[in-house]
Amino acid sequence: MAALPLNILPFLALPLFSPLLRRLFSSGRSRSLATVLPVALFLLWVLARILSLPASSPVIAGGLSREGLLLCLCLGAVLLPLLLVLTEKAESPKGGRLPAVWFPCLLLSAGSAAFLESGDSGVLAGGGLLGLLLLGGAGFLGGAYPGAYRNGFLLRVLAGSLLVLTLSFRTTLVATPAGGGMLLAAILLFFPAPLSRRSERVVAPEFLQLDMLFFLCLPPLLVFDLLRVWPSRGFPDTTLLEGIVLGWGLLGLVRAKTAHYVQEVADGLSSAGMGAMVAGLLTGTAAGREGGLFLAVLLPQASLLGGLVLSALIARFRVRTVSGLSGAGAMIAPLRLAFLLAAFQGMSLPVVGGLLGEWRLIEGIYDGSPLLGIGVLAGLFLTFALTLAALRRFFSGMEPPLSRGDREIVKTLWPGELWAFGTASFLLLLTDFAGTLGWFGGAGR
Amino acid sequence: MQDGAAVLLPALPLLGGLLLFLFDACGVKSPRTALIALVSTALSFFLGLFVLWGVIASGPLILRLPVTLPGLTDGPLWGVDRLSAIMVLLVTGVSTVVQAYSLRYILGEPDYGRFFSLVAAETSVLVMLVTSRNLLLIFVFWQLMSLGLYLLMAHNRRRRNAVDTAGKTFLVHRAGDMFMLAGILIAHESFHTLDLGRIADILRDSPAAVSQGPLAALVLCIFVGCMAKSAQFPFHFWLPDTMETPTPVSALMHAGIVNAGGYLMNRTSILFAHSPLSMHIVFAVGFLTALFGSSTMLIQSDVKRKLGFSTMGQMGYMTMECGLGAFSLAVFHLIAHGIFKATLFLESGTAIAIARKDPSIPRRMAEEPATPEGFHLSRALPVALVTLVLPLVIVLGAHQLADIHLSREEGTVVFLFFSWVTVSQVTISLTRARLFDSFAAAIPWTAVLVLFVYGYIGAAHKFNLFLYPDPVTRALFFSSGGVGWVMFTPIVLLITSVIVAGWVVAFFRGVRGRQILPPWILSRQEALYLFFLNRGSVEHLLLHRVVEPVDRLLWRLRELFDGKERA
Repeated sequence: MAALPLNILPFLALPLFSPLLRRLFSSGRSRSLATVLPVALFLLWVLARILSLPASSPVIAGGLSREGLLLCLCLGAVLLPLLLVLTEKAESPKGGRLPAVWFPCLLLSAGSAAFLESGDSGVLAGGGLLGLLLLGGAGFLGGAYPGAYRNGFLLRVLAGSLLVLTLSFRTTLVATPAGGGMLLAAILLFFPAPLSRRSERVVAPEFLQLDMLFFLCLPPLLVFDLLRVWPSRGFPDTTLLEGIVLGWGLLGLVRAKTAHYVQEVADGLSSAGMGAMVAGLLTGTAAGREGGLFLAVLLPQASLLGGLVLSALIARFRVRTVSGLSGAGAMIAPLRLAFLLAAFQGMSLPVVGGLLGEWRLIEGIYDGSPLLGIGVLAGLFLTFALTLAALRRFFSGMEPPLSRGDREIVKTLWPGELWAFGTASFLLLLTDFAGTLGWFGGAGR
Repeated sequence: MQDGAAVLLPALPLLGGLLLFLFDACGVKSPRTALIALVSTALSFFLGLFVLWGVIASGPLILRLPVTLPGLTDGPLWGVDRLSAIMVLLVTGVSTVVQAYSLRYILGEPDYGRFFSLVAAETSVLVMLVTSRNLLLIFVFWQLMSLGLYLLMAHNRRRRNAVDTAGKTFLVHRAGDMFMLAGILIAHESFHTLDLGRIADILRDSPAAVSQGPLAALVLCIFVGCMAKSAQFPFHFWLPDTMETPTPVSALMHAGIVNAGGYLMNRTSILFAHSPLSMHIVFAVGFLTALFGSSTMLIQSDVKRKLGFSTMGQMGYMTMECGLGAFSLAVFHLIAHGIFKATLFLESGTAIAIARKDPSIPRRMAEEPATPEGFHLSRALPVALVTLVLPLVIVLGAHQLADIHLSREEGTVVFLFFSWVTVSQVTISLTRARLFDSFAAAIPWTAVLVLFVYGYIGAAHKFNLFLYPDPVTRALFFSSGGVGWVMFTPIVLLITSVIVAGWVVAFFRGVRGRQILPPWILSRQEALYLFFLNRGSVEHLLLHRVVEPVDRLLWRLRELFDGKERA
């Protein structure tokens, strides 16, 4: 394994200041500020490095890749709003025992190491480390809420991490069919995480938020990171593989359509997005890679925003079924606005969604196989229909029958929540804007 | 100078809308603030006149966007030509009228300011749509238009019906959009560019550069996108349900947004013209839609629904014109239709209000059939002459005066047909209103009719020359839409017979009070009535034959995946 370049160290160190600074303040606004400040600085640092990158060049002098910086930016953009909510007082004693700030910050630090590495061994080692952190997170959550995850799922994550770590020590192995097979196996072990973890649907908001970070937002980034090692030495024809991952994405849509719990809707949609992203990356074309990057950066942020809104509704109404939350958001305008923004990301609508990214993705997939390209188009339509249905279901029509006092309580959002929704929405729009300006590649083409 | 004005065309309504939105967000709720959006849109209309003048004088304007979009740098993205300039005038004109009308119409409703800012933003999007010159950019604004329509239709979020209808409309449009995106993909694969100017150059220089198969697939995919937006059969079912929306939105939608399909067919006419098979399919779909829309309109009792189905019929006519290669006539038609339909929608509320107050309205005299008197050839012949032959003479004379040679192009013959049917329709209405009963009354009415028909046909002809000045392009359009005289003549004869037969039946039933249809047709009237009442049962079929089985399949899949207990 190669040593970490020095210019990566600030990215590694900054997030870790967050839990340290937090200990210096007892409570209140200062404590919250101290928690989010290092992550905000991290984001600004990444942004500055991206802006200093010449438009025509994919790599800057220090060896930091544009893709890596964008993945870091996305992880930071996911974490910042989440920290704003996590710093609110935990509702249950169990929630209070969770390492709610330490773990996400560790993830950001390790994620930076993985994403900013440009060598194969560094990428793989970082990926393996991230996988182990996910496992640790699942262990902690499982400890606080026994039975939250099934053993089979934990074993899969462990196996994937070990496979990747093994490859990181023997990078020459990746070029051989056996090594390629191992990498593929590892990717396929991580890839179904959003859909296959089958947690027991714990209702506590703390659990929902951390679970969302670990298994909805991070898997697309992790899988993208591992696939950066893939294209140059993949199988000669990846059409079959693309078909398989797209098929899995379709299953995600089936899950979302037949969901009982709102988390299942989010899991299914995230899984569908990941299917399209991986298919795009597997094509090995520039268009497929650009589209995949766009989706990898956009999907976690959209999932986070949608998930935050839904967890806010669940926390208020203490219900987590789709039918139970019907019309629940109709009286809370800021939530509707935030969800609208998140939902539009899945509709490939311009300005608010990844139209150009999706265009490049479909272009890449269609180049290899028109049939799969048409499949992605159909998938896009189904995703759109499902998100629109969710929007209408939760945010229009009859409101739940509540007393006047209860209505006021339900409508009142905490300051941390408002900041979280605002920050997540702003960062999401910023990402869309950046994509439209060609930050994900393609400018000047 | 004109470049600057062209940039302001979409910018003004957008700025007006944004400013109003900010005022609204800051708590400035005075109704007068709505004037910001109205004035900015009106200014855009007047600038549109200036730009049109510039385009006529010195040719199309090519403009550069301030940003570079990934993969979209091959050629100008944006510009104003004659077609764009005309469409800009229609869009901004109708939007100005709609906003002026809404100042009082929605006064006192919640989200007053939001409504105007949405209308202004939608106007800006429509202007950008009609001035885009790249297929992907067109697609971008095509979708933004759907989004704006969704937000306008779901303006009253507390009404579940309105939100559901908006959702349904959005979904149908989205289904069409997916086909359109597929078409754009095929275009990119085939031409390696999405710039419409370059695509036209490629097709002009080497028409065989792309084989007919991919070209037809590309054209038909784009056409499906147009079908969804313009409520063509079987995508029509979203349109009648949109009557839940406020009347000004209906007016904007029927006068501006549903016309987008016709506009896109014109914008991509060069692609359509190189695929004769697609042109015939376009014609068939348009014919079916026109027939279906007009027939369904007849059995509606609700004024707005009647207008909705009338729009559908008109859109069908417009599509038929495109299928025949008469692209400019389709634009002429959509402008005329846009103006008169907006007027009808905006007037419908007033008419209903007056009718509620005045029991003598609707006046029965005009619609009441005359007392049956028995059949007399001496009386029937003059009426038949007035209702069928007189319009034909007028229309033929108008064609002759406008120097349109009927034997040269099939499209012209079909246009003659349209004119004849329309004028006959007007004439029979006048006859039923007993305005041809006396010679003194018939003379001025006939004179008005003649003037109107001559004016319309002359204007349409000049418009054709204005929009497509190149005779080679016009000839290409018509030759591509033609089916050959061997097929064309029997079709014309068949349709003429049907029209004449229909007129005879209507004449005997309406004027003489006699039913001459055979019993086997009469026995099917009820089924036919129910068929049209259920809007062709398309929604029913979609729900029970597609959605429900797919739903069941999805649940089975889930059971396979998760086990029966969990699912």
